[in-house]
Amino acid sequence: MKLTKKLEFWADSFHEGDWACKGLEKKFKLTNSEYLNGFVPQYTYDLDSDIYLEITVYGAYKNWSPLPRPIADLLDWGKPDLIVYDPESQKIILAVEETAAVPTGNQALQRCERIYGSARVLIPFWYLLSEFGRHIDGGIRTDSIWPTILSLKLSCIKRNPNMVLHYASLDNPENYDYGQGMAELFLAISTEIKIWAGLIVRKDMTPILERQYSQMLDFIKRQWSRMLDFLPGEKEMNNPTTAKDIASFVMSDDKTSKISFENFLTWGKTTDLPKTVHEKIQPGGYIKEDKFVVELEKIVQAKKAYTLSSNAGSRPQLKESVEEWISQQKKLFNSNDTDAKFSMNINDFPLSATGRLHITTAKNVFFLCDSWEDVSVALIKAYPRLNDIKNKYNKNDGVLVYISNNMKPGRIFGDPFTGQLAAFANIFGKNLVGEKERIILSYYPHQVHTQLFDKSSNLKKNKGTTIMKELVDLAVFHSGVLINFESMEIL
Amino acid sequence: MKNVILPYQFKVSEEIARWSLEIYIDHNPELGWWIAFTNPTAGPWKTISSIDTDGKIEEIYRFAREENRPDLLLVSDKRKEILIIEAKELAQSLVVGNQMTKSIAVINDMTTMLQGLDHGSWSDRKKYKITPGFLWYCENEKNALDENKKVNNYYQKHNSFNLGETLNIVILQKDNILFPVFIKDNKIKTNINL
Repeated sequence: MKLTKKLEFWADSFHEGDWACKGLEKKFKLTNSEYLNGFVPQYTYDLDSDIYLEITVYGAYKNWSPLPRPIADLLDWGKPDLIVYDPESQKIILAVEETAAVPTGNQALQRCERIYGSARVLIPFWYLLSEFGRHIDGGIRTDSIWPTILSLKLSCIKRNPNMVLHYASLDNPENYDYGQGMAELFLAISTEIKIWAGLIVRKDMTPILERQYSQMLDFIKRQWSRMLDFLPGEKEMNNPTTAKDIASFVMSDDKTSKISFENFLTWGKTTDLPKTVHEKIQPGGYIKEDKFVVELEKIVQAKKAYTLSSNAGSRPQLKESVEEWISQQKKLFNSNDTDAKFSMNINDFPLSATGRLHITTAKNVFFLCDSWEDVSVALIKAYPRLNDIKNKYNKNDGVLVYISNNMKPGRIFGDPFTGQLAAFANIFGKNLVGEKERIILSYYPHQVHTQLFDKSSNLKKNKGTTIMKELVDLAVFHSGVLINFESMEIL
Repeated sequence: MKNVILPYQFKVSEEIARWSLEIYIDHNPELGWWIAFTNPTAGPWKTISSIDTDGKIEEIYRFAREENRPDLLLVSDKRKEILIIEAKELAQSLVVGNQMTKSIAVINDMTTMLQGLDHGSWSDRKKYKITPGFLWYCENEKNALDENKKVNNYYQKHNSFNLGETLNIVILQKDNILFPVFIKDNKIKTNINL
């Protein structure tokens, strides 16, 4: 008698779980499909001559209880579109995120917190997205390189598959039928299932990963110069064995083995930059004046920090909205735990050509600073009450300063800000083997710190605070209120 | 349809209600209805599809990222009718705030778009009768009728575009099984065509 092995496909919507099951029909012979209780899809496949695979789909995570603990824990880091779960061992086999449209501009990094959420608990993760998308203006946009770079780095840091697959073509944007992504995704899912079922061994995944890493590297090669002035590790990027080396490193059973290019995709200090790039370092400027941003710009001017060429666009806001947000932030502000004073004022926001108000401070979303000494001095100049922070870290430690100018209460805990933070903290904060390269400092000039805490002064639990607690060392809020996430000290 | 004790409890949401109706449509092809569009939370389903004379599915409309979408579009070539459906978890959600006004605006925009869409296999369908519909979940038949009255009263009150009479759909649950019923003239039917 044939053995039946059971998996659950948990999904954000039933369509996604059902879509995944239908995709598997190309890999395994379907023997039965039905709907339990009028709505729960259940598929049975011939996995081999001795084993049936029965997959039950549970759509809409939040509508089920009790949600299996590993799934509930993963959802704290954002909702992947598909989670393949073994109810018997209570383990997640893999997770998938897929998007129907190319995320562009500010949205390009949304969902990156999900990439990290799976990586941190060693869940193999595949992100399927369109390489080409049609913008509302009719033009074609290409996917950002950052999710792919993040996945490459996390693969090596965690030694666990973390993949980005692209579909579509220039002539067929956002079309799942073009490009290699779909075929690669279902090959990967079916292979992971065979490994789980004991039909093949983990090593059998290596050639598939090698090809997928190669596609990821090719994508970066095609796209990076559109976004950046330089890419650290161009040599490795062009080396035909790099994909194989990464796949072998990720899948190696010997976790003490080393990778020979640990600084690949590691953005170093200004002195590590190519001479031509170093010469071109200059401040990107700001729109709304901000004391800390002005000081950061001076560090860039002194060529002791740099930005990459992806400037943040300004999206001016209605005056009424800005007034409302200032009023809401003021209500939320509570100075019980700090001597800072609320000082946000509508007159500080410059008028745009359309009569709206600019809320963008620095034109760059992040600054890569060479030393804590420079950043701490800048912070103290902007907010003299932070005078005690200077010796907090080694003065030569590098710092990533990430800025979100958003004003709406609560927004920094959601998309796209959590994704940006997860991406930048991992890409610029660590090298390829996970060694810390920079202190992570996030700056929220238009948000008050009190939003992070409940009435009992405990950190609220949401996707944003989860990301901050794990990846951010220091967060600076309106009026220079500083939270140290290691000690949970508020200054 | 297999009835089992599921290992997890469920709460019927808008997603589950809409999905249950889709299963009914897909599994009763003899009724002659097919799904031209569904609006789950994500995925490659952001386009309206049509079926040509060879039974081939073609994309006839792609929603812009911020464009308002209905929750479900059903087409019956037998009846020459299109059902534009707005779904909510509960009837109560349709009759609070400005939800009904928003839903009616979506149905009106869709009606205008579908009746003006000159694209391949849709061209013959643009003259089909368009019926607005609301979909929600209810615990029992009796309450479903009361809720239907309330939803329809609200609909009539806010129907500034003079859209037609509704065919409302309620998802009911019996012995853990979900199934749709259809309400026309405040009478419950178990078949979409009755």
